[in-house]
Amino acid sequence: MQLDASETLLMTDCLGLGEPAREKAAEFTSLLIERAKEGDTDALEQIMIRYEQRVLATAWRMLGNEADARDAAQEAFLRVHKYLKSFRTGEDFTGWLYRIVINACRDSRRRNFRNRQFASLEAELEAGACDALRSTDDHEAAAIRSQQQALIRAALDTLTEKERAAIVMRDLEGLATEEVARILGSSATTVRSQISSGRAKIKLYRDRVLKASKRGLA
Amino acid sequence: MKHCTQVEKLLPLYVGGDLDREAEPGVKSHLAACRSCAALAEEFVASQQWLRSYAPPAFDSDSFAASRRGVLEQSTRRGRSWVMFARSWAPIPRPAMAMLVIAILIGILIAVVTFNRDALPVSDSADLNAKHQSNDKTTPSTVPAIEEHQAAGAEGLIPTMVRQPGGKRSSHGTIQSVLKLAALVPMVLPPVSNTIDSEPGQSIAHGAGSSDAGGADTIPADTDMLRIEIQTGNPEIRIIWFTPKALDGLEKPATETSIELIQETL
Repeated sequence: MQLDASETLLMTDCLGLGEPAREKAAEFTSLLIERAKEGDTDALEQIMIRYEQRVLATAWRMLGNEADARDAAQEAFLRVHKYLKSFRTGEDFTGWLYRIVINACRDSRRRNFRNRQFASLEAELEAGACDALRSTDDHEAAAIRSQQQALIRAALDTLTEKERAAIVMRDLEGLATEEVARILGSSATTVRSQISSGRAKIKLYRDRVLKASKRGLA
Repeated sequence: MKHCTQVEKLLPLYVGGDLDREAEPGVKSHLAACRSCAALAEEFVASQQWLRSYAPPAFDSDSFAASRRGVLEQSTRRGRSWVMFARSWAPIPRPAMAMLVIAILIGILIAVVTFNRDALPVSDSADLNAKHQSNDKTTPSTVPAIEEHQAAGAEGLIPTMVRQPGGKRSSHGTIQSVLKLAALVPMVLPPVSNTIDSEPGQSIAHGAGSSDAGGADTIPADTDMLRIEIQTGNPEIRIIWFTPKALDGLEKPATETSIELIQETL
């Protein structure tokens, strides 16, 4: 697809902030979608460029590691290409894309379930995650951060698939509860229930980690 | 004023701003009054902040490009495979395609009808035989010949077919097929030496006659009879059939008539 000057200008405008820019961005996305529907691979590539960062980040939060997240993101874009013709013009593309990403992650998780070794708190303690929390050395800041990430990943692993999807969408992606409900195909009440139980489990896990690290300090 | 246990259940939603507008003021006023619930709310807030620090690493832009290439290649390949499939059929004109489809359907129909004919219930064959008997009453029935053959000591040579409930013959489809083949090429089937002792100079395949008491067949050479011998799947069961080579007054050839009678007997 060759972008003409007006489209390039439109794209440049879209990088700006504010409501008009957002509207223009939405228009441009619709244009790309229409072209991609007609089989324009360049338009598909443009769509991927616009959304790949967000898709990969969501997949990473859902799956917890980069390799699986990349596979899921790729699978998600392949599904976008496959089902784009069924996407109705005027529908929320971002929500539709999120739904595809969540489903791709769900499939990936099921596929790798047997091979995956879920990190338990005990495993993290053995690996020295809580020792790193005790460390005050500035040189170890990166290591501490990495260990923190591992602990949060382990906390997310204690959630059910639906709870995790709801928490990732609501707390990490910052979507509204109603939007999360639409993406997950549930009611807002169900999503609230999943979010509530998910937050309670994460707090419980964090409390255990803090207690364990205090025991280690004593 | 809400009770502490009620508030504790609502706190996970309250800290994230997901609580109903009706319930929120009640929780807020309780937290202002209850220190333990306020502390619990603080813990939930800290937990939320801890969770939000779960940020993905900075992804390599080259790997994004590689991923895009992978998607585009795969999507192009998928598209090509469909296009190639469609193109492979494109040169065939539509009328020819329609004729081809119709021919395939007719072929399937013929196969189904043929199969069903082979699987006719017993009653159908009985009707066929009755019709045959009524058509030509002068035709010598071959069924008594079997009985004679059995009475003459060749018991076991004529099989007794087990009839299944519902009127279907067991394994008759295969046997019928064999019979048809045997009728078409009766000479192909070799005579069985341990049951038939032929006299020198007498053709087993072409001659036929009555069985003697010893179980051996003596076949007069001048008799214009056809002998059909079938070995079934069971080594102890063999079908030997004697029938005139030509039956005067019959519309059908003698072999075909015989086959029908054999089928009826089975």
